[in-house]
Amino acid sequence: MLRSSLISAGVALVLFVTISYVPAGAQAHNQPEYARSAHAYRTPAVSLIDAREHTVDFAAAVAQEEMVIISLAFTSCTGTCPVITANLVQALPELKRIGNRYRIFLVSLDPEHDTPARLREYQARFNTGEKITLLTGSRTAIHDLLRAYNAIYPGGNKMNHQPLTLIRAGKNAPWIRLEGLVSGSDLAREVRLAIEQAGAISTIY
Amino acid sequence: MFKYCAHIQIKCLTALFAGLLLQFSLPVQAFPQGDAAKGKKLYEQGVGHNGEPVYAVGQNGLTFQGEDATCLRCHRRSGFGGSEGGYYVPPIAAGFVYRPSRRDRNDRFRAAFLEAQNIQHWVRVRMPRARPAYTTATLAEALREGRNPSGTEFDQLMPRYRLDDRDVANLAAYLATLSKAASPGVDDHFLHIATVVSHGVEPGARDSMLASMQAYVKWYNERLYSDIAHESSARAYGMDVRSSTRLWKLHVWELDGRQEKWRDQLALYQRQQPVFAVVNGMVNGSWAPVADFCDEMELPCLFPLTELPQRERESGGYNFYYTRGLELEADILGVYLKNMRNRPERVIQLHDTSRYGVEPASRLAGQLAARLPEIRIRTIAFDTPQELEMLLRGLGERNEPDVGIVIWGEPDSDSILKALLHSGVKDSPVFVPAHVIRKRMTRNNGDLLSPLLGNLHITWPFSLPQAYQADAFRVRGWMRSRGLPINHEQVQLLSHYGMNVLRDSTRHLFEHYYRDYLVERIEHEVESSQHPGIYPSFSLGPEQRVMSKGGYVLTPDATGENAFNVAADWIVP
Ligand code: HEC
Repeated sequence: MLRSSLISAGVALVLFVTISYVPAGAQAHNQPEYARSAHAYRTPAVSLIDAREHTVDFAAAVAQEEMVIISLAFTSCTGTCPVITANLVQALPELKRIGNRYRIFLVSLDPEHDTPARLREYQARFNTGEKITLLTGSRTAIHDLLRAYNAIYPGGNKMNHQPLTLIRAGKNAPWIRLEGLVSGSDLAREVRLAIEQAGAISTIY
Repeated sequence: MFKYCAHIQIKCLTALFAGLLLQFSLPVQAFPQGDAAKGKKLYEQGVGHNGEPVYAVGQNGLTFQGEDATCLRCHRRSGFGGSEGGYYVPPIAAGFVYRPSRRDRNDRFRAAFLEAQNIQHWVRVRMPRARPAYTTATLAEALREGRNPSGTEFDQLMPRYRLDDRDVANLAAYLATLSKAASPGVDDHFLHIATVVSHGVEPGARDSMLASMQAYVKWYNERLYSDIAHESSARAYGMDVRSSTRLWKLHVWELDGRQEKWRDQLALYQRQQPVFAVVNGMVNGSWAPVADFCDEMELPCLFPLTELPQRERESGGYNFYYTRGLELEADILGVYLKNMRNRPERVIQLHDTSRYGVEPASRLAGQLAARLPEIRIRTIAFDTPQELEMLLRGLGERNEPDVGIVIWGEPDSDSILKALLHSGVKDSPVFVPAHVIRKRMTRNNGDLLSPLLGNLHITWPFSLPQAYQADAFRVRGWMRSRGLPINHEQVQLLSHYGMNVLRDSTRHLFEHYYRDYLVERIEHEVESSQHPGIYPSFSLGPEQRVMSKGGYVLTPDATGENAFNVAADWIVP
């Protein structure tokens, strides 16, 4: 009870910090390239499959990491997804420097087409490396996951999906939600900021 | 500099005028003569004139090369662009880049209202980006610097290309041809469509399909007249409904003789009256000859009712299918056997010598060899129903529980089921494709199938038989009110669905009747289309051609209220 109200106080604080914060990437263009907000999502208890055809208990996999980044894509998406994926790959060296134990989950929006074999091809094509886990699963599992993160695309059509990146900087930190294309360096910066803010919350406890 | 042209008209005119003067006064940069074929190669494959992959820099220094840098990726094969991920990719076909951008009202109407999109997209579509027609020089600037001819900087999604003058000239030449000549099959009044039927298909099913399609065309054309009379919402947008709508004309292409002769027959039909698309259709045996023709002619062929699509290619091309047919069922069975608790040690496959027998049998043999090498598999061909009965009796006498029996053969004949019922096979698990039992799925078959209870397994690439489908209910009502008896429900519902998809996707074309664009619209829209629930769900994506990707395994049940148990939940092999 007390704990949960502390968490929401923390979330409120983060929201406060967030509102006054304008991503630096925004300055170069007339419109911000992505929008930022903070949320308290409950990690969905879904069972997914990775590129090696191993079953992944998603909630456990998330709980196990200190820091988690989630993004969404599908292998036949040609416009934005290659950019989304390349951005994640671009952020890897910087994330390594930050040093926290972390994992990136890149979840397929097209699970029935994106078989583990197709995920493997995609991994090779974009050189996603060790730290990015590609996930697929049943249609319902993926749907449950999307719902948990308020990421159901408009019109029930994955072609209308929007680029989305979620960061959870520490085990008790809120989820930072970035909507829009986020470059590798912006992502690293957001991660640093999220870690600072998570630190601010833990001092409330 | 001219960023706000559209808002401040007078200033804009002066600016444009100044721009014109500037253009004349500067020495004209001489571009080499462009080669459209090489431009196409760059556009579609990301290969420059020197044979090297092209190179581009995107958002925040991301670099793209070769096949990751093709224009096709975003602007699509047709050059009509589209929307994905909430980003609007503008059309760059000949009719757009070489004309001043006028923010065409029809296109705006389409982009704004016919798609469920987020705000960002909507704002972008309404944001006027007036600009003069491109020249090779301004195209070079757009590609290299990311700026349009009136100086507006592009969104970061459009990469900045490192292209030399020759590559730019080649692209310019290709864009000048892209979606320029109207696709065949459309004239000022009619959109011609065809369906394909061959000899040897079940006459009742064929007639039901044709009658459903004809009723649809009649309904569509009547509605078109009344829509033109009440074009209120469209008129508010100044949209010219008349310029973009066509009456439909349906042609039935009948094929006969050996499959090797079909190509010539199809070509003759297409010469006599070209069509814009082929919809539905059923043939005896493999659909491959029709599919090859459609790819050769770049003619969209939508949703044939076939169990033998026999796709050559993994993706792309002009043929769309509901499923991979019997190949899918063989794959589902492969996965099912792999996960089965009391998996048989040996598998005996019996198949007739038609394509319906040979193809899935060799597919399953291949799958098992690759994934389950510990299972021994024997494949035996039979020529007649009597031979099958004999083979099954022999197996029935031995009745070994560790031997799995798989049977493949021609659809819509009861001979496989009859032979099974008389075989005495009780303990060996038996596996058959859906068509062996499909017609008996709705009634309670406890009595009929009782000799097989407990050991018969059916691969089932459809929705569960008991699933209620609201849209099917609606379509049945539609048929009844047009005096069409429902006697081949699945065929009729799917034929109706095929026509619906054609209607919805041509509606998005407006006056741009290009086949590649149609293909892209279908890829985009199928997932949100209303469908009659024969299959649980449909989805496609760029270059995807198969809409439903999995299936169940069912076993008959005499006691339960559903007549069938689900032995394996939806498998996507
Ligand atoms: C990753 C996606 C992507 C790729 C790849 C891409 N484009 Fe674009 N392109 C866009 C987007 C998005 C815009 C709209 C930019 C804006 O208006 O802000 C655009 C705009 C354009 C325009 C301007 C259209 C107008 O009306 O002013 C042209 C011309 C163009 N692209 C040509 C090309 C060519 C040629 C290629 C290949 C060499 C290419 N593009 C590759 C996404 C892409």
